[in-house]
Amino acid sequence: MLRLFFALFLFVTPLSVLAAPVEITAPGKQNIPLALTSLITETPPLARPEIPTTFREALLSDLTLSGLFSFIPDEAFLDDASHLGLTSNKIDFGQWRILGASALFKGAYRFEKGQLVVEARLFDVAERRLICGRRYRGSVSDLRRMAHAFSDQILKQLTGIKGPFASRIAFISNASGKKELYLTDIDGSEPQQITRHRSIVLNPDFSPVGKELIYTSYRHGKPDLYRREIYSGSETRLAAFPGVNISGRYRPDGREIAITLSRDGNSELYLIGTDGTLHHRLTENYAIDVDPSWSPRGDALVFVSDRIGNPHLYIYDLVEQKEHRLTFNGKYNATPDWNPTRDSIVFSRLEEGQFDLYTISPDGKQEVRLTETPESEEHPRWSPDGRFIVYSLGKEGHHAIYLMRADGSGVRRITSPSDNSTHPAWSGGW
Amino acid sequence: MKHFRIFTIILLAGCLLASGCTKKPTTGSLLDTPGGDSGSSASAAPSGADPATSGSTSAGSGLSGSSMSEEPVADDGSMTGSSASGIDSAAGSDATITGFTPVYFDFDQYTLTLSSRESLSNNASFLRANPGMNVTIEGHCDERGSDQYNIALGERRAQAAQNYLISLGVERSRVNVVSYGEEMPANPGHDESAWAENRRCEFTSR
Repeated sequence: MLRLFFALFLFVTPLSVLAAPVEITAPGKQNIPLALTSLITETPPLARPEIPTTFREALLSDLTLSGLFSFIPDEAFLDDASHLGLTSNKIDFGQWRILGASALFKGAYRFEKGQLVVEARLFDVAERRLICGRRYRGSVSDLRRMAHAFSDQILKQLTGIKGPFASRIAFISNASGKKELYLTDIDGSEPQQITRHRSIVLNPDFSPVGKELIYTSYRHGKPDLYRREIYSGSETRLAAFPGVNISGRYRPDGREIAITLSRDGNSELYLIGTDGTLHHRLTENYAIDVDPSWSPRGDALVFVSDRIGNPHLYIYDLVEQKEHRLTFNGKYNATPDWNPTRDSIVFSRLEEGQFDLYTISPDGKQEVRLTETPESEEHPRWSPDGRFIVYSLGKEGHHAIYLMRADGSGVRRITSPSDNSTHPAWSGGW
Repeated sequence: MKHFRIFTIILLAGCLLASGCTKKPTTGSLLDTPGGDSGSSASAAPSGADPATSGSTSAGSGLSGSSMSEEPVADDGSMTGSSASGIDSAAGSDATITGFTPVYFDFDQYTLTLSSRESLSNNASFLRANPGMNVTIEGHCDERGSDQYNIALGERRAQAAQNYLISLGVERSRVNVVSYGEEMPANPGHDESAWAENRRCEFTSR
């Protein structure tokens, strides 16, 4: 009977108590009390205690970063926490209501023909019904990714927008002694070295449409732009014009790349095709123009220029073909990244030898400081849902990759500081 | 005589100041990379240049060709000590030059200081004395600043050096440039003296 139920298509219903879409950028305002129980084995002879531990750890980590929840202490759980029932009619919601829980996670795992199967459910305690249910199959090594995928679903149900936890983060590390490109999950687990150029690799960017990355490398003695298919490992030198080929960023539709070239004398912004052919020159002045980042609709670029004597942010309007200055505060503003879902640009500002992160609205009216530490925060990039930021933090050659929410709260480190990691980029959906 | 020279320099500098910072010098336009706005701001850079040191470095020849801004001091103590070897005098002593000399820059600047020009005229002489030799100029930056920006800045520095060599008669075809930004520091330290050593152009024959 139970099995028959599991065989049915898993359904999703809107949450009544938590019905209004929840904004994530105001921590503390949203505080949904969640009871996060551990996975229970459905095949006791094959029980593996590390499975519930690992799954819970990953789920708790994601949901904590989301800033949406407070967590009911495990010690308070009553006996329903250890009951296998995963349907609303088998759960003793009264027990959870006593504990003040608004939402309840329950789940189970089993092995089928050597495959790990994880059942994950989120319930609305007051309404006694399922918010979101998913079944995952894979190997034990996929366990964390199953948890990340379910976290994404939870955010989708509660906020209307899928979470970014099942995506990937690329970054540059010189753990091998040379700067190479690495790829990791959002929690920093199992970083994989992608390039072996034994040169200098810099500034990765994910294709929004395929599993591929572009980056700058000195593999052939000067800074050229490379493209790499992540799974096949196939790599091409995409742009090798005379001079620099740096700051490559895919347009949101993935069909064109903004890049800084100095082929015509000094650093200017250009558009090239994904086959490396030159399309348009954008800027034309004696200044340095680098680090473009696309607006969500792909109709404008924010970039760095020193045309007034020191680096500030500018916006290039591709429709009007006009440029205007965006930042007037500070003396050294760099590495802008345009939020893919809302009107916000995150960037780094150098003051007294340290970078700190700020956001500014594209009209320049609202500037907000996000970080204030004795260390340097740089290279900010938005998550694909625009609610989180990945960046590098450190000083004097000891940098690590960190995540935080869009408002600067929820800071956490995801790579080892000894690896000296910088230049993160956040993939789209994976 | 020396006092008179210092006085002249101060007077000249005063005239240039009075005539406005943004005005480009008319001679040696190749010496200055474009982007005069930032060049002019260089004069305000905290180089620590004091008039006494300036006066001891060289005759007025460097000044006339330069924006009034630059005295070399803070960058590089070793260079500023060298006396009165202006561009012209350096050109006459090819035989004594045995190799390339690096040149140094102020933070976020690519304008050539007086001592940079001296080094470059040494390098030009070395190239003249070795007609079969080509050179690659590597532009470098210190670790501060944004690294993509620094790659562009390092290229600017290398181009400034390249243009100066060409203005001294070195064939363009013998000189190419590559920027490493902040990726290859000469000094791995993290203080002002290390940074000053790292904001440089290096010259390698090929």
